[in-house]
Amino acid sequence: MEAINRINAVAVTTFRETIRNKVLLHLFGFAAAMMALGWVVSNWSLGEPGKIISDIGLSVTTLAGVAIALFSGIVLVWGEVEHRTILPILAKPLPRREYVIGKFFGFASAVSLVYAGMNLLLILLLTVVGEGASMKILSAVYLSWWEVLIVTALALLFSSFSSPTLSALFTIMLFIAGRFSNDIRLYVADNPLAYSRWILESVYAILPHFGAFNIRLEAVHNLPISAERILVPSLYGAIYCIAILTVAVLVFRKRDLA
Amino acid sequence: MSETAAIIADSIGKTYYLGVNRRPVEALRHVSFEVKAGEVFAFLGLNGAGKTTTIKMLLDHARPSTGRCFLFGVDSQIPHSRTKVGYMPDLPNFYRFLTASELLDYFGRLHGLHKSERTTRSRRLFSLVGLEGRENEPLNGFSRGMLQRVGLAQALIGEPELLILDEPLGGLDPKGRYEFHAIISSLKAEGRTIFFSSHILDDAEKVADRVGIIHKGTLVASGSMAELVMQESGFEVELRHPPEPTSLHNFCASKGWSYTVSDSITSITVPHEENLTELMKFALDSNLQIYAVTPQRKTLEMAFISELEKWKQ
Ligand SMILES: Nc1ncnc2c1ncn2[C@@H]1O[C@H](COP(=O)(O)OP(=O)(O)OP(=O)(O)O)[C@@H](O)[C@H]1O
Ligand SMILES: [Mg+2]
Repeated sequence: MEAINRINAVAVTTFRETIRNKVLLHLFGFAAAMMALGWVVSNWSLGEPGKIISDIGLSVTTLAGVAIALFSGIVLVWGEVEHRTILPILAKPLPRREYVIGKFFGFASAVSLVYAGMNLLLILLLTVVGEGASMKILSAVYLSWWEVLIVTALALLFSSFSSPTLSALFTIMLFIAGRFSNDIRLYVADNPLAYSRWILESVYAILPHFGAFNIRLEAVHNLPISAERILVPSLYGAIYCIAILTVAVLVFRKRDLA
Repeated sequence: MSETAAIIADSIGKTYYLGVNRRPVEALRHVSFEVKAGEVFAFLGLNGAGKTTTIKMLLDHARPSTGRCFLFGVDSQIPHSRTKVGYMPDLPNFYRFLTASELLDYFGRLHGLHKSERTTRSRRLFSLVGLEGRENEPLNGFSRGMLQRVGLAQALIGEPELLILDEPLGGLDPKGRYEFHAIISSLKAEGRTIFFSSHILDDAEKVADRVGIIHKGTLVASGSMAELVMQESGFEVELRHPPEPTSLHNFCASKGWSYTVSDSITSITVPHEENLTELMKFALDSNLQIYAVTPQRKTLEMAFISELEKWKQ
């Protein structure tokens, strides 16, 4: 119970500190501008405006969410060590694992709020063009949210032991690899060598399978989406985040603060 | 050891490895000391001596390469050891977008305090450190000295039995220093233990019971203020004398005491307390007027320098 209270205290403070930072607002504005652009484009083109807006909009909100998680996340712990704000905090009777977990929840809440705000804007736009938000669009938004959360956890993990530049590099590499993880599997299937196949399969297993969270195409084109298609990735996302956080705790537990 | 010491540093060493070729830098070498509960301990040393590094080990901000530390008997690598500890960093820095009261509330929560308690304590602490009226301003508008005051308030929020303060007087103006001394005295009167680092000897001299002197990562001396500072005590006696004080000067010369004469006052330095009685008797017998008797103390500065010089040899 005391642990929950302390984690909560760290989370609330992290949330406040993140949300009051102007950087988030700028990224939000950028995403809004992109969606407005999509709207303009949808007016000029021949296709159905609702489809174009939701197509562009879903991609924009997901990428903007990922970008926010990435660029604010990579300085999260690193910045606290660099600016020494962490010293009085860890001088309290606060175990480091609680600090890391609290940091994640606070930061993830802030990112999620911005992500929700951007999608609200998207739904508003869809309502304006007479489309409205279907259950399918909302499901797509929900699953992409897990993608944002995983990037949040990854950025936090890297920021707990390396500089922002390296963290950005690692996170972006994993993000891209994760988006193309399916191709790796296809390549594996073609590869006759058992040994390298084993390695590639391991790599595939560890990479975040971002493809699992992508039902944007189905949502835009109103294709059928099963309940399983939503539940299984949710479970996968939760387990993946917990795994990354566990590694972050292990890495951060004994490290020297400068 | 009957009572648990507030701090035990047991042979702590810390080696940092710098650069790509991992050049070792020994920031601390087998530093051992003990701070008893209720004591004010000043940890003195020049820039780069290893004061902050020692404090990092005490708070588990970094792990020692050798040795261990204990706070109230609990291994400092266990977070629980910091339950009754308040820490103030040198050059304190806090979240820029929080207000001072949000920050204090946060630290109170980390100590497991309830809302009502956090509110009362915050109010009291803001007035103690002289920040009342500014508590709802964001911290990015605070000056260095103001952050230092927030730092002290934050250290006190858990009503700690042990305070670990790294250069607490660093950014303070004269008024702030004076107030700080008063706060330390009152905390000491409440029976709290205070460990603070400084390179300003005056501050240590005013408030500390015991001092440790660290130089290039090695603890070169530690002991009570009395031991370190009053070793070479003697007395200066000033006597008002008649125009021709020959007998007095002869008496001093016969005893081997040095003296200086100015106008109608002779000041004599005697090495021991017994000599004082002798001289007094002589003065009374000769009808000399006693003007002043002052005990002579080696200043901490002199002690500090002589310890460093001893160490060099
Ligand atoms: N993270 C680090 N990496 C490498 N060397 C370090 C590190 N921290 C401290 N040192 C070295 O350890 C030595 C002691 O530093 P420390 O900060 O403890 O000194 P200090 O006594 O607190 O000095 P000051 O009065 O300037 O605060 C210095 O030589 C310093 O360069
Ligand atoms: Mg220092």
